[in-house]
Amino acid sequence: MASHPCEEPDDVQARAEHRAIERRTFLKQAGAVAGLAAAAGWAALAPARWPLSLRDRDGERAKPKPRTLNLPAGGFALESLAAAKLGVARGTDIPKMLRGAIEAIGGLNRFVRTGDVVLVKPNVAFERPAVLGATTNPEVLAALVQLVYEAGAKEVRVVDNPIESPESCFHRSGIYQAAVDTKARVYLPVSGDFETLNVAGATWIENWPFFWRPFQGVDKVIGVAPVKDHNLCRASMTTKNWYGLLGGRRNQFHQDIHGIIADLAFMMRPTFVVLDGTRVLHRCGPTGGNLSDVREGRTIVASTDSLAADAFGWQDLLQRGDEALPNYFALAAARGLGNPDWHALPLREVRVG
Amino acid sequence: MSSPQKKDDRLFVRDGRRSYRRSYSLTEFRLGLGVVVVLVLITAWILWKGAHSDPALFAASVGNDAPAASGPADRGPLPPSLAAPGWHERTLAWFDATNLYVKINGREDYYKSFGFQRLGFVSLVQDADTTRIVDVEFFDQGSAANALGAQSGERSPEQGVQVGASGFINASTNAMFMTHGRYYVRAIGADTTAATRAQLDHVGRVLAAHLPSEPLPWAYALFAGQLGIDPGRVAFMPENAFSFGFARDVYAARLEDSEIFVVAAPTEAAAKELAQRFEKGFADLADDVRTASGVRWARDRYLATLAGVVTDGRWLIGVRGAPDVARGRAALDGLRAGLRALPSEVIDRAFAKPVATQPGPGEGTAEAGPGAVSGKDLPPASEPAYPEER
Amino acid sequence: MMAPVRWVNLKPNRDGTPWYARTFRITSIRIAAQVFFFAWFVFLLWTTWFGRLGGYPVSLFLEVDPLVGFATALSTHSVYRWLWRGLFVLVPTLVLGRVFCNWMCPYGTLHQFIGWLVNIRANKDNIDKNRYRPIFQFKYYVLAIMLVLAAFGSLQIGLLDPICLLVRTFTTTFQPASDLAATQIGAMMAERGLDSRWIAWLSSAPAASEQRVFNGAWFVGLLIIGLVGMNLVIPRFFCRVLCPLGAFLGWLSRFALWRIDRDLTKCTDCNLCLKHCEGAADPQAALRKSECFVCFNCIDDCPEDALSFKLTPVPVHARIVGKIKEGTATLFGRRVISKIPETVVARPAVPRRRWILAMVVGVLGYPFLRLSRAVNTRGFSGKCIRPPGSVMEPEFLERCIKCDMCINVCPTNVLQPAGLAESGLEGLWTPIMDFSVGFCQLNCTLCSEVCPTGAIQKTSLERKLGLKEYAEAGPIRLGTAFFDQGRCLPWAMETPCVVCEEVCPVSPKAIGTYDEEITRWDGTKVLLNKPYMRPELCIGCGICERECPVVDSAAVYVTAVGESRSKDRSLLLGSVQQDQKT
Repeated sequence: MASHPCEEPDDVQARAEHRAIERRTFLKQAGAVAGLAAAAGWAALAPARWPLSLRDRDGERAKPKPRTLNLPAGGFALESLAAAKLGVARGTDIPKMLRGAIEAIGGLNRFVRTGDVVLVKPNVAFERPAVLGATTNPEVLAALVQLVYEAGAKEVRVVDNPIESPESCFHRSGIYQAAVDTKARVYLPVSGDFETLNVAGATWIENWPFFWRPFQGVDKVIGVAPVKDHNLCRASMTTKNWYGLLGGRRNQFHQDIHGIIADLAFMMRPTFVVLDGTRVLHRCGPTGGNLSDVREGRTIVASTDSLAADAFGWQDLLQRGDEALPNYFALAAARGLGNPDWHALPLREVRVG
Repeated sequence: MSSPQKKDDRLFVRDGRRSYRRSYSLTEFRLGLGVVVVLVLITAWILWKGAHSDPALFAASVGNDAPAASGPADRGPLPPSLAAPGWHERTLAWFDATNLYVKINGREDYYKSFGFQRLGFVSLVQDADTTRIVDVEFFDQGSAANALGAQSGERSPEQGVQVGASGFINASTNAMFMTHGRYYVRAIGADTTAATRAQLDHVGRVLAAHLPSEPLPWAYALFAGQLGIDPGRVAFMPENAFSFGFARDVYAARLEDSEIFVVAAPTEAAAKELAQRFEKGFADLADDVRTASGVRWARDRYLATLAGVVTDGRWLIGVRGAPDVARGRAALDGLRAGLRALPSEVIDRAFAKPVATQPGPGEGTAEAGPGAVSGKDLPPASEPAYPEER
Repeated sequence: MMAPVRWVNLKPNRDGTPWYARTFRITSIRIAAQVFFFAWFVFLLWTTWFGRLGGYPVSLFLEVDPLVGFATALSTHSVYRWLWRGLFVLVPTLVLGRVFCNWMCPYGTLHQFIGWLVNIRANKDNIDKNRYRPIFQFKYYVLAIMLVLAAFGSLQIGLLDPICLLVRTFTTTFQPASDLAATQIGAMMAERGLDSRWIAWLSSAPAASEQRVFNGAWFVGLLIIGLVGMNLVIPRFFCRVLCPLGAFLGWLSRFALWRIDRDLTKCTDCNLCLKHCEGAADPQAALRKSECFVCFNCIDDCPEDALSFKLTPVPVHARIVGKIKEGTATLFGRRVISKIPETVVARPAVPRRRWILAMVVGVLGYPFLRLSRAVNTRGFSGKCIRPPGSVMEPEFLERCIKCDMCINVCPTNVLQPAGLAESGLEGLWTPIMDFSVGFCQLNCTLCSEVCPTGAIQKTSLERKLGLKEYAEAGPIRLGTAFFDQGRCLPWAMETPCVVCEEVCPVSPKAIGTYDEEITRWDGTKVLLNKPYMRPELCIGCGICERECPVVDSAAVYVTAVGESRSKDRSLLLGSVQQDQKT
């Protein structure tokens, strides 16, 4: 480079420094440019499966995915039905009976782990006081919640969707107070709590509004149902209990009540069920009304097989003896949802107090 | 440098809460305190108002009745109040066939099969102890026979029926079930205390006094009164009885195996002519007809049971589904004896001209047909209404 | 750099007064009062929901707004229900001046707060921005026009009254937004196993079955952003330029017994008092009583202690001895320092001719608005279906302040602010029912409870449903439902449906069916229940329209004809209520 007569030798150095500085600035900026260009190119062009790639060649990636809700595959059951047992406790001391019945099927620690969120589903379908036998005995519910907390559960949720005003049903039946006393959390249904549940393979309820909100984050589900006569399906026990998890127009179900109950058993595989036989509504069910329709059953049954428990209740608690089981037993058994022949299950009977 | 730029970028204003005045004043401070006191008073007032809501505003939106069920709520045939002294009523709600399931799910079809019209539901609460509640379910079943039928289906077999003024009452330790004309009432308490029973009793009395009396069909005096048959098994077929087009105004009662029926014809000749038609009708369905004991028995070709009719004056009596002649004959004799034992008043009414009645929708209606009787023609009720407490 | 500043300096002040005289000086109390009233304002709106309502006086701010009371008194010649509470603001204004604007008004607080937050001006610019400008007269024109309109019977103050505006803004924009936030955050929390009850407080419509939507919310939102944004240009823009309530209170301030007084013997004309003057009231010169917000910022800012809040200070202009320009003036013996002798201007600076012009505009405005088609009997819009308990349409427009409290409390979201189509400009933002969004719940009378002016008269449930003593008058009808048989599934599409008849809540039902069994095009037999109306029974609750499965444009729809509040809009002979005012 020809040097200008005005330049001094120092200028060369200054210019060299200047150029160095320019070079540094240039390199920094060029680096930024290259980086940004590379990032943009990567996001747009890298193959779709590569990390941080946004490429969407055919538009499939950006399509909104319809939200289908499903219960966990296999439900909340921990052991297979082949290993199911029946635990029967007889007596009058409810907490002891419940403990005995659950011990007889393996003990609560087998089913509930520390930190579990457990959902307990009682029958609170009607606005009747507990003595009339149309709802789950609140003492049984309280004892169950206490046992579950003892086993280390983090939270117990008491859930049901009655047909009438939920608040009145929960209060009148005594379930609300029992839950509050044992620090369980009651979920009263509100319209926004329901989502469409997909039960693939169900006959009637393949997509039906389901009381979804309390099920979020739940680890275990325990059903606790009373023993009731039912004028439509002849008996309402633990399998029909899941009716209270559905929303929508449930009054249509009476068109095929047995098919529906089989579907309910298909939809919900609980961790285990408790059949509350402390009071038995042996006629004029499911609403009852007459104290003389209620008999003391003095029994609590626990099992992981709802059909077996219900069959036991049919024969022993409702005392139907050899009368044929209602149709839903056969329908549900045909789908492998349980064994109505409860004699085939190992049964342990416990007498308490 | 960069500080003017920094000043422009700051998030908060510079001065904050500085004040430049020279002097301050304690008076000002005290006035400020006064203002704070006023603000506290305002807070207290608003909170107090919040805790005291206008009861009328929320009376209907919260409660123990289904919100969509009741239209402009009237009391219908109910008296102004069902509450006994020391009790009060909650809101009355009405349900019809489209929303009955809300209240009686699982059992709604039962009431619908008995000609259900509408249900009025009200809870009675004791003032002193608001946990003591009696639920009253007031069913309008459209006709007396339907009401009676519904009641008999829900009655415990061991409880007898007491005859009330215009219907039957049966009571249990905690509940009272009664019919009065076309209405079927269930009053259910949760306990068996004297207070609950007093309220149940009150409901029964008030309704019996207030509801329009509808006379029971005369055949109940015969079947239930004389022959001791469960009133729930009595049916009235105004026309087309047993699919016979000529068979009108037939009263029938179902026994364990057979069915007995009776028709009150206007004249003897009419009775005889009707009997012949019945015989012919039965014979059409029979594979074998024989005469025994003065009666032509037709054996149904499918069921192999016997059917036969006989006349007694203006009465036509018959039996269907009898397993053999002996039992069939016994049934007819029993009917004849029962008819003969009826009070003359009942007999007169049985043959009286049919009164213009409101048609009651539903099956098997038995309105105040020809010759309706009131409850006093039936065997007297045994007192008291409630069984002894065990 | 700067010494670390402590939050509270506990040393006594330089003049010997204790530290709390400075920390809790009047401007601190004022800020506390502003926060207090703003918090209560937001709370009362938040609690306007049937589950939270209790007995809270949710319309309290609207009731104490004296312009609401005054204007409705002009239009209806009566003071409805709780509107006498306007005296709680009126009397202090007469005594102290426009204290409401800077101590109580939540809208003023909002403007002041945002303005303070985004203020990046240096002191000199602050001072310039707070000088009085002639455009501040505009709010007096607005007030005059609106009061004249009110006197004629068209109540329009709600368009710009600050409380009405802010309630309306909260109802249609902020509250639905916070509901949406609560729902989304709650869902995210529930998915992660957290208890979503923690976020329930954010929702103003908990347990509402669906997210609430409101007509024209975009415009209301734009308006609030625009008005608040104008604080960047002129501080307290709305309060100074547009607010009719401020104008009303400003006009009344001329009677105020107390005012800010400038001591001419101390004032050095430094203009520092303008730095934070909220009202642009010229405290450095002749105080404009009608503009002063009694914020006391000037007292805080004056380094000479020249300003004070005095009881009827005597005008001193006449007492000055000597000439100010020559610097020889004295006042009561002390030397006058300030060059500006005037200390007060009592009245708003609106020339008389401009008042008259505004009133003329108001007089013209009435026929211009009222004779548009929308509100008259001929050509009224059938979609103008008012809430149950509303008075007749002309009276309604005399009373409705477009506060939208009824819309806020409505549990089914059926009440919507009207656009221009339903009842014209006069009825803009008044409540109408949109049955494609919700329906009128049978056992609910909440809208009549919260209406502060009686546009919706307080109505008992018995009166609404025609029970007990109202059985002869019958239920309140909002309108009548009509069938569009070309869209109805059983009438036009061989498809069984009977939802409208099922959901009709009255007993006996106002919808009956003709039942017909037909053979469809594909050979199947179906029983069609073809619905028809029983107009003498229909109360216009709209649940049929809401539940009709033809959701784009329902096959059964309700229009205002047949409403019981209006003789002119009855459908059937003899269906007019005898006793409408009970």
